[in-house]
Amino acid sequence: MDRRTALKNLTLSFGYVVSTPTLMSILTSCTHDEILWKSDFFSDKEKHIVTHLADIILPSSNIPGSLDVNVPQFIDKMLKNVEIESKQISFQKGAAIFGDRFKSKFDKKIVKGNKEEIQELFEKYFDLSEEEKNKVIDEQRLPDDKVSNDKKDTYLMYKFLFSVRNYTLFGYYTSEKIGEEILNYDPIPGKFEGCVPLKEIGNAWSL
Amino acid sequence: MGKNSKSNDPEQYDAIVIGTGITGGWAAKELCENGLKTLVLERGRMVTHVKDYPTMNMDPWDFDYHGYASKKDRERQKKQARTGYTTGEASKHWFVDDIDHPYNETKRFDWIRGYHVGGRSIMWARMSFRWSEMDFEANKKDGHGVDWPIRYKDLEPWYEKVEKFVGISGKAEGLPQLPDSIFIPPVELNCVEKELQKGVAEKYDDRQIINGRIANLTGGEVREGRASCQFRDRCIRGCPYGAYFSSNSSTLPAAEKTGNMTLRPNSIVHEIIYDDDKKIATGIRIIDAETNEKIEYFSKIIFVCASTIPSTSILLQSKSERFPNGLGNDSGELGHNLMDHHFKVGATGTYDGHQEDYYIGRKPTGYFVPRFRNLDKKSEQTNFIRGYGMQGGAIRNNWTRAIGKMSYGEQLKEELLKPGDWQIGINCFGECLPYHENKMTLDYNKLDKWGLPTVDFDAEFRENEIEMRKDAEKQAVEMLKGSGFKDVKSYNDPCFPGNGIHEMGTARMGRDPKTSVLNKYNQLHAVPNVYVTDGACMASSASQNPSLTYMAITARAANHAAKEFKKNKN
Repeated sequence: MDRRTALKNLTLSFGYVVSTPTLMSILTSCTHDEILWKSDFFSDKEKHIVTHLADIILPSSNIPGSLDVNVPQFIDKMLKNVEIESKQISFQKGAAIFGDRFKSKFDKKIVKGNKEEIQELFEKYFDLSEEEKNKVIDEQRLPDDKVSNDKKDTYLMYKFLFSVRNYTLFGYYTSEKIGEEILNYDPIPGKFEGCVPLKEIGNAWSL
Repeated sequence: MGKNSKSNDPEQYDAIVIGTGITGGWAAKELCENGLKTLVLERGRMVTHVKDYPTMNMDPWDFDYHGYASKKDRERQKKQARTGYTTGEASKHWFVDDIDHPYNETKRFDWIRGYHVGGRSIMWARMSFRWSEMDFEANKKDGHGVDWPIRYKDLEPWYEKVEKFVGISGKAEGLPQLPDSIFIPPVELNCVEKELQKGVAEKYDDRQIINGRIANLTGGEVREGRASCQFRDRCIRGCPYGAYFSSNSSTLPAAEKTGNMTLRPNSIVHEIIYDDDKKIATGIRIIDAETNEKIEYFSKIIFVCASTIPSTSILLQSKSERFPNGLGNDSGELGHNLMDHHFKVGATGTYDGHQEDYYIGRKPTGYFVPRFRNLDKKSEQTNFIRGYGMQGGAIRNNWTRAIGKMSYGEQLKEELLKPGDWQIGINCFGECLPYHENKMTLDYNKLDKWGLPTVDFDAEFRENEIEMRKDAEKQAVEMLKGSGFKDVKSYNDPCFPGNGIHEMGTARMGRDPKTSVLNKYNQLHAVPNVYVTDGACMASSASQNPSLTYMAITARAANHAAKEFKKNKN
């Protein structure tokens, strides 16, 4: 069978492949299309958090950002139809913990939080030294039941944040707009040339 | 390839072929071209070339989940998903529903199946290698299994015949352990694969990096109804250009063209009818998968090409007074000596150079390392016998390089639009010895939805394979490090029989009817009008991908059958 594909998947699994999901509530300070679509999986609170996180992870500039290609809607769909129940629950727990920590920090519900505030909290957990990052990443490789109780909340919150980040990348770079207009799109190359100056090609191939 | 209605089927044929995969297609083509009226039976649905390849032109964003299978779909393909690459949205329709098609695992066996016209010839990896003299002599030399009743020279003209028809892309190397095919132009290695090639050539005199050898048309080559590869690397979905060889693109249209073929999908063959008086097989029994109707068809010759496990399963179910333990099972070897290649051991690494280089096109193959162990006195190993080949490829990473990391923001977004580091992988494919203890049996207490017994597997890789893997892991690392690759990491992951999707053996060929099931022309020793020419016939596994050898064996057997048929007719 197609082992080259297997090989590619294998290399993917060295950083871990997209896994998990989020939690509850109500919407207020929404951006973009947040109000305009109806989620199948997310609670209003989860939708609010995920939408802001996706925007923080891949913001819009002169090149479209994650919200321009409906990444939150994509994550909602993946969580509902692709993730198994245990991963869904862990996503929801992680989002709730993130929401709780928001509340402790800003003394208001996260649904009332704006992008700047959510970004401030996110930075606290992601703007780390290399050493600290490696520690977090190593811990994420552990199965749930191998994590001690005092670290469980942080572990689940990071699981949620990684899940949103991974799905944001996946949904964005495999979206039609980015795949066809921003990355190098060539559905029928018609030839193979094994060594061509990069400057003659430009961006990475989308397929 | 129309689906004939049953009422129009005459019941008597010159030949019946069971199965439409890579060997069934060849049997159909050769028998039909020899003028035999041939009924070709397939247990699954009809698949017409191009018309029935629903995902062939889809981009990631065209799929609901950008390629991932939904959990609802995954529930029905838990075993088929064990490869990690078969059951995504692009190809899940080529793999069976595990709930409808259950089997049993005394020991874990990853039985990956495709029930439809064309079988796994639609999804195969297309790697095509001849066996060498050494492979056919191995059993005799070291005493494992039984001696093959054929040698390289018996198959050589048939390799040539099938290669001309199929089109094998590759480069002649003149290696005794991996004889050259008749080649059409190779697919070139990319910059970094060439660095490995150079590094290995400088460091070693016993091994080399060569171009993959694949059943894809290249260099503007065409065949009837088939055009050259467009380098989309979507072979597993079925190719709109017919650029790679499959039964659907190649052999079945050739058989159809003769006017001698009747193709009947949805036909589950479960028994071969043996006539105790005439001492030959006279026909087969099927269950129509859609209507559950039971029908018998009759013929002078029967080709069993249902793929390794189903072929032996049919023979085991074909019980008579003369053969109480299954048709042709005088030796008791039917179901035994089950093999598969072991893999999932090797190394990965990155390359610092060629940062200003990239490639155009997505090639459907990588590089290959021909076997270099136990070829002669000098390469003899103390810990294991026989050997392994290695396959791999280099790519520049795409956005997935950022998965699992902690970067974010506008800078990340723009950085990931550029190609990333060069990454290389190398993976061993090793020979598995024919152990009598590795077997499949039928469980009559667990029936499928047609009331047929289910297969049970009891097989495992053993000491020789385990020792071979240790060496492969070490060699993979040394070759990458020695060629200037960085961040080299080895892996030796759990690998269960079946996952290589090269399952073979269980009705082995041999010289002695007391210890084997088939003779040198793939006839059941005691029932010469029944031929088994798929992977079931294999007496050893070698380390090469087996399909090309199956094709050559089938073409040879079919022409033998046609010759006998004409002789008896006159």
